[in-house]
Amino acid sequence: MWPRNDVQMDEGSMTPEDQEPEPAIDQDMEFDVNLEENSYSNGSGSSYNADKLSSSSPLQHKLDLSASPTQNNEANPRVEHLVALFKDLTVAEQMEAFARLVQESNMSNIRQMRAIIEPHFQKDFLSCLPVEIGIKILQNLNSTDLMKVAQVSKNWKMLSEVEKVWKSLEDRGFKNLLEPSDRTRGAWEATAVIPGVNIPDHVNQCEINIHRLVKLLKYGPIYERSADKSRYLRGEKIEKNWHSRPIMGSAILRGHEEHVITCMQIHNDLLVTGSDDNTLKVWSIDDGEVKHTLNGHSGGVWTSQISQCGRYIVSGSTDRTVKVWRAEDGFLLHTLQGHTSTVRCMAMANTTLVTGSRDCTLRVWDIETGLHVRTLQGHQAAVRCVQFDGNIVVSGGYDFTVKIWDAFSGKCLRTLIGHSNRVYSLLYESERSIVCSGSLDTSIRVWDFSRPEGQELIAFLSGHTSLTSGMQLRGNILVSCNADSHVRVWDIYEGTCIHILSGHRSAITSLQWFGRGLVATSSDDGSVKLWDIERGVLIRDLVSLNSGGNGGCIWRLCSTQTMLACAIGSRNNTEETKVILLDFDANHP
Amino acid sequence: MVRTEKSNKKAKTQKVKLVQNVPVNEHLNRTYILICNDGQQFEADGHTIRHSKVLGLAAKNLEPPENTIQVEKVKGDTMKLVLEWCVNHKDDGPYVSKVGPGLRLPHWDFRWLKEMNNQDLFDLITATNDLQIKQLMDYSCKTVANMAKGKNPEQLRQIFGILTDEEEAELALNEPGPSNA
Repeated sequence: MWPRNDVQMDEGSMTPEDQEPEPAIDQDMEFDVNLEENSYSNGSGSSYNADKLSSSSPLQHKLDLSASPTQNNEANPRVEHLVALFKDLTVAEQMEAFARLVQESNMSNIRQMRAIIEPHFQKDFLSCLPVEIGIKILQNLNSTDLMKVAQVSKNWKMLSEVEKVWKSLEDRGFKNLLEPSDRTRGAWEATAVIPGVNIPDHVNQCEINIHRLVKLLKYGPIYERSADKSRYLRGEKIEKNWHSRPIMGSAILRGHEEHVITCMQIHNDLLVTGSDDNTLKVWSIDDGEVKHTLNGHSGGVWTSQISQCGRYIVSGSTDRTVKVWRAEDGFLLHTLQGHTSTVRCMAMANTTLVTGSRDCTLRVWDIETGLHVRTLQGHQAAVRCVQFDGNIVVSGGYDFTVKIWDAFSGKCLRTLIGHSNRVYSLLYESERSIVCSGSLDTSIRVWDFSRPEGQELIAFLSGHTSLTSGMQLRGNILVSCNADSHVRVWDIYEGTCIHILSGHRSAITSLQWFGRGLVATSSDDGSVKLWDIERGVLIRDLVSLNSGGNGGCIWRLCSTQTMLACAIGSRNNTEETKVILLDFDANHP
Repeated sequence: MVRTEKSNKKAKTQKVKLVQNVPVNEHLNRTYILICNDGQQFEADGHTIRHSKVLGLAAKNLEPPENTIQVEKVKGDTMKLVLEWCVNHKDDGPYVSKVGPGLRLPHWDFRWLKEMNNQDLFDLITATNDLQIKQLMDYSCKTVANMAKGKNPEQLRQIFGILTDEEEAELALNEPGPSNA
């Protein structure tokens, strides 16, 4: 018998293993190692798998330390002698002995030892424990780990896709999504990639076609097995689409040529643009085309709203009227007369409309009947901005004040004094009676009118150096964008500025906040930028115009959870007026 | 045998009437003898075993001088571990159950569970389930989850000793009888 190891042997001596017959079990192991390399598609090169198959009870996890593959009932005196010596050693010496013994052992013995030891360290918890406990274990993992768990075995996959596990995951802010969209027809076919418009991360044409094919399957295999997992993964994918993935779909909606788009609204599939060309246009986002042009005003349209139910479109104009249109077919339902100057702003709750005008008044209307309900008098100068929750009206004016009204009694409940210049923008959060006002005096004031009269001011946010054009509030975090080209992130209860986001080279015209910490801003510098407001950094440029800086600017942004609309144009004809749509949607995997 | 929840409740409503004039938490101060299914016995006081809903109820239902509780489902070695944990948490305040990233294990628990070998951990979890110890259950589950964090499927199979589906099929062909998984 030749020694199996390449160990140098003393002349004439034979190691004990030379004297023993080759154990049958060892041959099996050798054979299985070869087999394993070829046949298992998701196996690995690990020799452990082979051992499991060849040892006598691979699936029994009960560990019986006294058992060994070659157990017999008579104690071997030589072995007993060795064990007695071993027991005499100190723990440290025992470890040293183990190490030496392992060195002196052949591979097959080592493998057998491993089979004895390994169950100590391996236990298929998920399969062996009751299902509720398995679920409890999995609830501690994030979505990435859960996906890996699903690839381990059929059993693990089933357990990892249970509804409870995915429902309890931390939400990333993209939920209650609509059905996955089409966005492949009409203007989407041509995309928005044209000379002069840079969409840096836009995917190239051939990949778009692949993407459109993929888009056809709105509900993939995971949805069949676990709807909650599929929905969660869709939300994650959409967030990644916004954050860093290539932009897979875009469209240009052309209209209002040579004029300014003054207002833009979205409601489900409808996009409504108003312009100083006296018209509004109603577009279908999914189809990528215009549905109706609303003609009738004899002056520029400066403000618009879509009703909550989606049936009515309302517009306010320099012709001093308010018009109510039927969204379905563009039919003009009512013309509301009463204001004696431009209707500059409006807000709607259900079918009650509140309009604010340069004539210093606000008017409350019922848009279904077209009847005038009340006039709110009190401002000493033009009313510039208004918010309404169905009961309370909040208005800001050029008389430097913010007023709180009861819409139906017409009574002015509070006048919030403090700004030292015109109030241009308002944010109203009904649940907490909080109002944020942005003024030409560069400050933002935060008021809580559930407090006693005269004590409403809870924060005075200074730092901006110009006019605040947009604000959004969630919890105690307020995000503001300003004509000074900066975005600021504030804590309204601390009254402090958490982040200043710089990057735009000109006035910021609007902002949109989605997901958990994603904010998009549009600017007169012709770019749309995406920011991470939790970390306070720029993520990327979504759009930039070549004519930016020369007249090309982005007037307004409007977004849904899966789409961004940018109203683009110029005042000097360097950029034609249009709306660019970007698609960030994803299917259910 | 440890009585089931249902029968405990029934017994409780009857017994409470009888022992109305005894202070409610008096049982916490008494010492109990726990007898496991392999015959091993352990002594523990009420404060120690209160974490276990099952043992706690059993204790409440005992009328002095009776103080033995049969714990049929748990073997001695595992009971030892359970009691080790309970003793360490004897003086804890009320516990609010949490799962997921919000759950942080105290230092002692983290080390103690981490160093445990998997067989013991498995037995511990099973015992914790039978004895209904919410806090230890949350911590143990988190410990198992931590073993799985950040691993790819192959590593997970190694750690937990899982056969791939092909290997299992192979096994089913070679060995008669039901498979464990």
